[in-house]
Amino acid sequence: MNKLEFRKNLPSLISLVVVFVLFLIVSYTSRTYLEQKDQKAEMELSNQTLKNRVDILKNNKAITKESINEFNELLTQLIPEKEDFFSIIYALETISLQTGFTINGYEISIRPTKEKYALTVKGDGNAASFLKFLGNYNFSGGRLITNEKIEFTPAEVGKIKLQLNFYSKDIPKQGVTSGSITKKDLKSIQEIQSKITVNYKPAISENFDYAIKPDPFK
Amino acid sequence: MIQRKRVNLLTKSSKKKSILLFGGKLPLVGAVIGITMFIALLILIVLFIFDKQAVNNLVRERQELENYILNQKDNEAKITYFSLKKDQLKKFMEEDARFLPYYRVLNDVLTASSNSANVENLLIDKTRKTSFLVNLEGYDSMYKFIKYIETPEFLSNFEELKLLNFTLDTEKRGSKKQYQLNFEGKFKPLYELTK
Repeated sequence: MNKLEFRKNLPSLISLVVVFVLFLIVSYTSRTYLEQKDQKAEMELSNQTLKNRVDILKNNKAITKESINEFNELLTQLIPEKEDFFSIIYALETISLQTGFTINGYEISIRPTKEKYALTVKGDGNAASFLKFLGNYNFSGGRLITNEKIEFTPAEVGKIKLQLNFYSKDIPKQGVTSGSITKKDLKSIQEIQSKITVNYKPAISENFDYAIKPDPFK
Repeated sequence: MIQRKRVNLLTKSSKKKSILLFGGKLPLVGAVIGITMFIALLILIVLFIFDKQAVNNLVRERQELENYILNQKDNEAKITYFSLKKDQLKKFMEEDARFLPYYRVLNDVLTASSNSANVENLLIDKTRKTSFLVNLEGYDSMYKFIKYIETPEFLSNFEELKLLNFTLDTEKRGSKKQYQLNFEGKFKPLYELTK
């Protein structure tokens, strides 16, 4: 290309360069904008999760601190974090006394699952006391008890054998999201509370909230 | 000075043509593309500024939410604990046969059918499957009962029910004959029965 041709084509070359530069600027700006848009979407999602947690806390403001502590103690008593044989025996004795259906023997079965303990229980009593037992065994002893299958023959109550299940399960320490407490939940817990006559005192937590001396030897 | 006497029209005169890129139309096309890109750039910048504001607002909102949650972390832990324990309770209660409510339903239904009908044996498991033996005294009671078990009032308590066998107890207890009817079936869920 000689000087004359170069001069004639200069506007074309300039326009090519300008378009190319503009293209680079627009590409960079649109990429930055899209990254920011993604960041905004992520933040909206995580803010929504936080808002849900805040809503749960605000909705449950009606439940007083004392009530929630009481309910949590009750639930821990019904389903302790670790199995406690004393409370199993005590629960059976309590139900026995309350209902008049005498439990006169029990065998501990092989633990079916980590969270369930099965006990075969022998009992004696009349039809009325056995029916009373059946109406109360779930919660009255202070532990949650279930029975997967019951066979009732009024004439043969004295020879009855039952398989009762006791439960223990801990709460995961991490990775849980808070749930909501509905009025229905509160009502059912209060109903359970009214059926329980046994309260095991929870272990008194040690209070380490005291002033620390800079020099323990003075 | 050389004088040209004649012009030779047979020979081709070589004229060099200058090369114009893209026929010289590139500046026009480039201008159109350039203006379009410039407008697009302006729009992008405006959108970017608006989005940036929105992101700043979201950051501020996040800060407020996190502060609130931090102040309420004890309460949140207790509510979470309650919620998880309540779910455990609900799950474990599904393992229960819930004998007494179904026994009462059956008893009420039998009493409505006949004064002499009584349950001699009742088995219920956690899936609501059941088998029961009903004892009846006298032919009249038995007849009334047989008619009753076909009514919707009786059958509405069960998802499925069949009469397995029907026996006459040859050892008379008292003056009337004893009839026994053995059933097998499945109760409906309690919430349907208490409607």
